[in-house]
Amino acid sequence: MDFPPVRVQRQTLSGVVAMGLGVVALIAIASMPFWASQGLIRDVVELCCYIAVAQMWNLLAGYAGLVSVGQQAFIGVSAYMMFVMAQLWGINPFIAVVLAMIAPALLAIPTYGLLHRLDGPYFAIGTWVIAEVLRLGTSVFGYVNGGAGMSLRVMTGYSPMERAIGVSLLCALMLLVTVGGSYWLLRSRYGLALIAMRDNPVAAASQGVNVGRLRFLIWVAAAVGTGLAGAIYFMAQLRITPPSAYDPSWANIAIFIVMVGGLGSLEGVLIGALIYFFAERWFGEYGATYMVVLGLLTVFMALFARGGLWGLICKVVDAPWFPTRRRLMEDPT
Amino acid sequence: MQWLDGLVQGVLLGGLYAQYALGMALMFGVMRVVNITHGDLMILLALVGISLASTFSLGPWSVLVVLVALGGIIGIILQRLILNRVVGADPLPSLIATFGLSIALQNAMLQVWSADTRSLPSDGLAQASFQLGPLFVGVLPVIVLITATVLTAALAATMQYTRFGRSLRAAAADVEAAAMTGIDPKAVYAGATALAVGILGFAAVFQSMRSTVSPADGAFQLIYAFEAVIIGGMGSIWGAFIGAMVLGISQSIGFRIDPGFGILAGHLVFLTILALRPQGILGKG
Amino acid sequence: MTAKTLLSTHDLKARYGDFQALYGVDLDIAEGEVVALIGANGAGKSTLLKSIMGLIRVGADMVRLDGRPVGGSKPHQMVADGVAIVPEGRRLFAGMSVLDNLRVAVDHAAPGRGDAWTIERIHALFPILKEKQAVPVQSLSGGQQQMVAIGRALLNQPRLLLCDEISLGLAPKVVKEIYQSIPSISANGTAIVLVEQDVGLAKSASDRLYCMLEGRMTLTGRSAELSREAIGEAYFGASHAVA
Repeated sequence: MDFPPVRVQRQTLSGVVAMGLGVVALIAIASMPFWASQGLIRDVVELCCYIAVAQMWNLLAGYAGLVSVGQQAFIGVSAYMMFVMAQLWGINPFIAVVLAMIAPALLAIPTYGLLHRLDGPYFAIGTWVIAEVLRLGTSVFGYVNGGAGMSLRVMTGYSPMERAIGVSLLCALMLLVTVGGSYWLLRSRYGLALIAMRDNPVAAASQGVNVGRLRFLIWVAAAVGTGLAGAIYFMAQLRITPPSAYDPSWANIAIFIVMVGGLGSLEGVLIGALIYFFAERWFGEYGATYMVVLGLLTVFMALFARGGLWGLICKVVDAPWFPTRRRLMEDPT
Repeated sequence: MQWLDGLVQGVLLGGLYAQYALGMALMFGVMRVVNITHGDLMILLALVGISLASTFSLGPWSVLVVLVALGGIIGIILQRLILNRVVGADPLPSLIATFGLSIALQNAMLQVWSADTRSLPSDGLAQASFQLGPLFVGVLPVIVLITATVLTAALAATMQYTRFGRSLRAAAADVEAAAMTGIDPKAVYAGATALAVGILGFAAVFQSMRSTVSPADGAFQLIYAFEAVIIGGMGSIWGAFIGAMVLGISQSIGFRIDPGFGILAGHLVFLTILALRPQGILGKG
Repeated sequence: MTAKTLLSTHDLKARYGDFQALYGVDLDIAEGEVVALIGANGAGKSTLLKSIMGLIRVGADMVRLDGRPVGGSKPHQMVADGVAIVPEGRRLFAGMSVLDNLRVAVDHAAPGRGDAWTIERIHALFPILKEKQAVPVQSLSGGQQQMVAIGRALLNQPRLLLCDEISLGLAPKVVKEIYQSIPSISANGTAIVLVEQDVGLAKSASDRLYCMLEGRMTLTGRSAELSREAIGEAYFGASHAVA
C-alpha cells in the first residue's frame, strides 16, 4: 500500500507569533531596571511569581494527576534556605536564590515517598500537613529566629539599581525555566507520555508509560519551580516569617489561576495569572467579599467549565500559543 | 503524674477529634470524596449556634438539637448542589469545588461574624470538674468523650445492621452495581453527607463550649479529622475513633513537653504512622 | 403469540462517545417467556442490556415496558418497575457477606410485586448460599458468586430478569447447575433474557432466540425451529457462512 508523503508539523503561525512575543517579553522583563519604575518592577515580579507557581501547579494537577494544596511548603522552604545562605552563610544572595533550590528538591523526595501512599483526595490534604509541619517547625527553630522571622539585611550592601537588575534577571530566568521548561517538556518525548497520562493514566501505563516514575519527576520539578518563585518573591520582600512563608494563600492563588485560566494548558495559566493579578488590584479592597466571589468562581469552574477560559476560547478559535500537538501534513507532490 | 494527666487529657481531646473524623471517614468510604469544607462547616454551625443561643437565649442542649438538624439539611444541599456533580474516579473536581467553597465560606463567615473568637455559654458546664484519684477531670470533656463513643458505635451499627447502612456499603463497593440492584446512588450519597455534616453539629456545640471558634479555624479541624482517619485506617469507622485518640494523646503529650510543640507532635505522629504503617492502625494488609 | 408483550425495544440506537454500538435494534419479550440473545464478542448484546437497564442514555421511546416509554430511566427506576439484571462479571458488593449482598436486593425490591422470592427460596434454589451466608462474598468460588448474583437479582422481585453471560468463565458442571435453575425461575412467571455465547446452551434453554451481529439483529425465531446453518449465518455474517 502506498502512503502519501507526509511530514509532522508541530509549529503553527499562532505559535510562531507567540514565541516571538514571548522572547520580547522576556527581554523586556530582564531589562526592566533600565525602563521601568520601582513600583512597576515590584508588580511584574509579583505577576511572574504567580505565573511560575500556577504553572507548576498546572503541571501537577493538569498532567500528573497530583492535586496539591500545600505548594507553600516549597515556597517557604526555599525562601528560608535562600535567607539562611545569604544572611547567615554570607553567600551572594543572587547566587543563593539558585543554590537554595536544593532545599525544595530535597524536601520533595521524602514527601512524595510518604504521600504517594495516600489515595487521590487524601494526597492533597497530606501536602497541606507537610506545609503545616514546616510552618510550625520553622516557628520553633531558633537558627532561623523562630516565629520572629528574618530580614535580608545583606541586600543593603547593594544599590537599588543593582538589586533591580538582579531581581529582574532572576525573574526572566524563572519564567524561562517554569513556562519555557514546561513547554519544552510537553514537546519532548515525555510530552506525549504526559498527555497520555493526563487523558487516561491506566491506559498510559499499559502503553509502557512509567506513570509512577513520571509523577515523581514532575513532583520534584514542580517543587523546584515553585521554590524558585518563593526565593525570588521573598528576596523582593526582604523579610520572611513562618506564617508569610508558608501562607496557604499560595495554594489558593495557584488553584484559582489554573482553574479560571484553563487546566492542562500553558496559555490558560498566563490568562489566569493576568486575571488574578488585575482582579487583586481592582477588587482587592473589597476584602472578604472579593474572596467569596473568587471562591465561588472556582467552584463554578470546577463544576461547569473544567477547561477554564482557555478551554472556552479553544472552542471558538484554534490558535494555540504553545502548540504541543503533532499534525500530519500531506506534502503536495 | 504530668504524663498521666497528659494521657487522660489527650483521650478527652480525642473525643472531640473523633466527632470531626467520623463524617470524613464516612464520606470518603462511600464516595471517595474529601470535602475540604468539612472544618468550615463545623465552624459555621458553631457560629450559628452561638448567635442562636444569644438571640433566643437557648441552652446548649437546645442548640445541639438545632445544629444537628441544620447540619443534616446543609449536608443534603451540599450533596445535591455540588458534590453529586463531581463524584467520580478523578479526585480533582471534588477537591477543587470544595476548596473554592471553603474559601468562599470562610470569607462569608468573616463578613457576618468578623474575625473575633466566640464561644457558647455552657451554664458553668465548661468549668465543672471532678476528682478522679490524683487527677482533676473536666465534666464537659468526659461528656464529649462519651458522646463520641456513642456516636461511633451508633454509626458502626447503622452501617452494619440497617437498610441504609447496607445501601451505603453497597454503593461504596460498586456504585453502578448498587444502582442495578435498585439503590438510588444520589439519595444514598445525600444521606451519607447529611449524616457526616449532622455529626459536625455535635462537634460544633462541644468545640464552642469548651474553647472558642473563629471563621478561619476550619482548616485546622479539617487537618485533624484527616490525620485521625489516616492514623486509624482509611474508611473504617472505629479506625477514625482510634486515630482521633492517638492524635489527641500525641498533641496533649507534646503540649506538655513544650507548648509550641503540641500540634506539631500530632503531625509528626501522623507522618510516622504514614511512613511505618500506611494502611493505618486498623487497616488491613 | 397470546401472552402480552412485557418489554420491547424500538429502533434502539446506542453509542459510547463517538462509537455507535447499536444501529436500531427491535426486540420484544412476552410475559413469562425465556428469550436467548446470542452473538459474537462486540455484537452489542451487553450494550443492549445496559440500554434497557438505563446504564446508557437512550431515547424514551426506544424502550417500552407494558407499552409505556421507559428509555433513559435510571437503573434504580428500572428495578422499581420490575426489571432486574445479573450483570456481566457479577459485580457483587465486595466486603459484604453473602447474606448482606442478598439483603440489599430485598431492601430495594420492586414495590407491589409481593415476595415471590425470599431468601429462603434462594437458599432452596442454591443450598450452598445458605451454608456460606456469613462469608464475605469475594471469598466464594466463581460459580457460587454467580449464584449470589442471580439470587440478588431475583430478590428484586423482577417481572423481567436480564442475565448477562452467566456461564462465562465457569466449569461446565457449574454452568449446568446454574442453568437448571432457569425453569424454576420462569415457572414463577418471570420473563428472562439470556445473553449467551454458547449457542447450544442458549438454544436449549430458551423459547425464542435473537442473534446479533455488529449492532444489528440478524435473526429471530423460535429456538426449536431454527437450523444450525441459519444461526451460523446470522452469527458470523453471510460472507462467513458462504465461505
